[in-house]
Amino acid sequence: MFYEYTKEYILKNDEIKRHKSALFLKTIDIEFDTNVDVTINIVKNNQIAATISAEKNLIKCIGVAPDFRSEGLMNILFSDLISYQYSKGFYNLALFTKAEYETIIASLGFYTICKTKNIVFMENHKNKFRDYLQNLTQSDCKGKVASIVMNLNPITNGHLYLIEKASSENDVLFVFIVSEDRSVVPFDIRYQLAEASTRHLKNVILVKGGEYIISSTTFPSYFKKDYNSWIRNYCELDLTIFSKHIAKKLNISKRYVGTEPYCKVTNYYNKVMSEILPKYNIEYIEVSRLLSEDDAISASRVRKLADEGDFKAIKSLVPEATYKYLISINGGSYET
Amino acid sequence: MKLNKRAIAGTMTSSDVMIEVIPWGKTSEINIKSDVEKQYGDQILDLINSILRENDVDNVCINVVDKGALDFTISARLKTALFRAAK
Repeated sequence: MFYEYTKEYILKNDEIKRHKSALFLKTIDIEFDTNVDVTINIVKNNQIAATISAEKNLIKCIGVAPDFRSEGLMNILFSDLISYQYSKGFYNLALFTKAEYETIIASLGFYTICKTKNIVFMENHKNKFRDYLQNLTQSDCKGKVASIVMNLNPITNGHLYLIEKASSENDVLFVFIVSEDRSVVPFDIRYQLAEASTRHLKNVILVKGGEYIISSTTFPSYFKKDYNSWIRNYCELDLTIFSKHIAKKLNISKRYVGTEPYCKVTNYYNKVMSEILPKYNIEYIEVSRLLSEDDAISASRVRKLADEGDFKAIKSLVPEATYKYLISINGGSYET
Repeated sequence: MKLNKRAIAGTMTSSDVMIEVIPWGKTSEINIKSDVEKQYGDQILDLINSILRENDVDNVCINVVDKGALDFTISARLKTALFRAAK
């Protein structure tokens, strides 16, 4: 019966209780994700009967013990978690699940946004994704429309080279800037620097990437540089959302990427991209990175030079706006 | 009734209903997910609309996840959510 259960709310700092939840999940073949902020357990006779967790707006690590299935414990857990997250300001919740659980989770107020052959991505607001697509741009997208997705952390001459090349080969170029604020340079600044550096390119439209392009919601591994078994699923999902919905909406027929010599996750993402895009008639175009002194120009190299205070070396690697910005935050002075 | 923020009330346990109220600057929208949608979907919708009218609420998005709640329950949960949103 209902009243025989007790509930426990476990926060990130409660290592002992978190460990118990992890052990429980292990018995049903689910791995506990240590990044979660909150875990809610339903406990009966000192045994965990069911558990759920969330990291920001993403629901994770859902498990019900075999003996307690079909008792409506999921409904209790979801109700409690949604209310709890609401009180913390996380109104829009999302999750990844396997196709077999889609119907159950749909009955708990979730809607399928996109699915691949392995996973389903669901959200608890019907209109959020529709509104996102509608608000992407007011611009006219006729002719050859291309796209690039970039973090621009911050924008370098390497990025600019790729943008200029794509811009010259197409009628319209959308540059989606990853808007997740987990980068060294805040999104607003990354956007402003990109705006200042691409002003001379009339057919370039900068777009805030938002929650559905390489965000911690659609592609959690990217921000943790996690290379685990789920990475393929996340990549496929992110790219399916892009191809099936975003590109379709904006009439995009090409996506440019720079070769990725350093980051394993990005490299893998690009590989999956080269497989998925063509299925939706989108051309995958990989462009070799611009070299400077035999070394690829990358934002991480620029950030490292900035930390070392080597602004002389930076000057030839970045557009003027970025150069000024890096000097201003590192307390130096510059000549105009 | 003037709504100032989004709010939620209720649960998704059996015979209850979870209702979310989001004030927004466009025409009202009511999304219902119910275990008994086929039988009672229209009735739930009518009930919600009548409560919104009674309380003079417009330009709102109402998300309903119903687990077979009776009318009284739906009415109580919706009013609670509305009052919380009006705070």
